Amino acid sequence: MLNIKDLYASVDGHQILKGLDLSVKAGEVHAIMGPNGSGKSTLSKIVAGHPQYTVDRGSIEFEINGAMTNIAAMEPDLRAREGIFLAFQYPVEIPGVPTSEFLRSSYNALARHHGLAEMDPLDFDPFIREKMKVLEMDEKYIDRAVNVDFSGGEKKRNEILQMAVLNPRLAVLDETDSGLDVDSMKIVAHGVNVLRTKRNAMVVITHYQRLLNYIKPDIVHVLYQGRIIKTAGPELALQIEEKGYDWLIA
Amino acid sequence: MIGSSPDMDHLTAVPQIFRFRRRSEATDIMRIPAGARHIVLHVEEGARVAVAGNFGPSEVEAVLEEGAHLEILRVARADGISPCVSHFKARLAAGSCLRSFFFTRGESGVSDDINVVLEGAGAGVFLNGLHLLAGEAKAESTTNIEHAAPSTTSDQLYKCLLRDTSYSLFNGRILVRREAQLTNAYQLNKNMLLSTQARADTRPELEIFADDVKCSHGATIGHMDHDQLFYLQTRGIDKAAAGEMLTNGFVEDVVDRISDPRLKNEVQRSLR
Ligand SMILES: Nc1ncnc2c1ncn2[C@@H]1O[C@H](COP(=O)(O)OP(=O)(O)OP(=O)(O)O)[C@@H](O)[C@H]1O
Ligand SMILES: [Mg+2]
Repeated sequence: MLNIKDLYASVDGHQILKGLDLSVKAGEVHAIMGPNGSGKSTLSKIVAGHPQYTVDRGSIEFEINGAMTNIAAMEPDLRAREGIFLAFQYPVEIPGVPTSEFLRSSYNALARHHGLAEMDPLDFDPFIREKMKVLEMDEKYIDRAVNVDFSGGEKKRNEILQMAVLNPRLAVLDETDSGLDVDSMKIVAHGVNVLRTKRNAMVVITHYQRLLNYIKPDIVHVLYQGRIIKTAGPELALQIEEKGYDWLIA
Repeated sequence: MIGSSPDMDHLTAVPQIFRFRRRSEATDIMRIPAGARHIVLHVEEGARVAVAGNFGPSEVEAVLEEGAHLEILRVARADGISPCVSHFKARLAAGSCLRSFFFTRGESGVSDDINVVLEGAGAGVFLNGLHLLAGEAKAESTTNIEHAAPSTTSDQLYKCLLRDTSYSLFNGRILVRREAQLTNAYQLNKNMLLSTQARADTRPELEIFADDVKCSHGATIGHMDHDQLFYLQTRGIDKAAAGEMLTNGFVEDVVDRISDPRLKNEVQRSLR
């Protein structure tokens, strides 16, 4: 459902991705690992359509209505409505916008796009509370401004709550485990796993094999200096945990 | 409340004096009569009152006795021709609390200045302001806070949303006298520019003569935040709706500081 070919991408004139290939099919979970600064977050932002990042060469195709479609020029909001979701490494605070209102606007934007019924606050309230229960989130967050006065871990949980609301076909999770304590990580991983189906796919960016014990990947990639330099099965994550990246880079 | 308005044409500068009796608690919002030019609000010991008014050019004075609470909403009523010039002065005795919200919108010019003297220990003032400017509007807000007694607090948030070629200037002066130990003073001025030609300036001025003081000030002037916009867009919300959410959020953040729900409601209604 996602097919990236020979992708070169830059931000503010810096070339970050240098010939990246990645192919993800429905039902698969891919893990991407790699040293700091190798381009993992850049890749996630390119897939989500950040306007600051430019595609210099290559292509990004995503399956829309059964047809692989070049999305390089598509607005981020349209990509989201078509089923692409990014859980941010650093979720953004939006002062003055209540979380409940934000989540409902978001849900309704997708519902409208797919010709489904929108929800008013009365319908939405039980719907969102149910999702929060799965993630063991305190109901008080719903009344706060988006990510404002959330702890690091709470922000990450809030990202997965948004994923649960939008039910994307392709979710890119950028270091969702960073900043989570062990128990929180299990809860969040469970929250992700209940969303896993044969029809959707996930790309999980992480530094730690530990998360992959809970969200089991089919394929593990190593991203280094803007390219995928190694692709293998789940055992690769264990090897990296043990040996680091040196043996792959040499 | 007793309105001891002199039986005279209130368009003259003779002050209309309103007294709020000792320990009284007004159940209704006191409305300042339209056209009033010079108002004195005298809030006696322990009294609590909420006041609202639409002002043209005017002068309001408030005297807060010990433990008094006053929350005042002033909405600048500009005639669209001449700038609306208004003044607000307040003196706060020990343990009293003043909350002030100044609100302007539209294309007329506004100039408001506020002078607050914290005379008694433990007095606190919360000054909030919101300007929604468009066209060629120019808004100037000046706040002058004098901490003259120990353990006094001042907290200010002024926000300005600027369209077209509008301009905002915020002058914020805080004076902490030597005897005003354990003062807390905060000041924040945030400006969101919605066009390339809108401009804003901010001029904080801090004079601190006491040594045990917590004082901070900050200012931001900038366009809409790209990362916030992107974040909302990645949740399926189109750019126009996301922009509207962000400007509403920017505004809501300060409106939320109005403590009296009726006054808050009034501002929220006029924003719709
Ligand atoms: N706006 C920018 N201008 C210049 N360089 C940038 C910009 N944004 C990112 N970079 C650089 O791009 C490279 C890749 O950054 P990216 O955030 O994609 O790395 P990452 O693999 O996600 O790292 P980490 O594991 O630390 O999260 C880094 O060297 C970074 O400094
Ligand atoms: Mg990163």
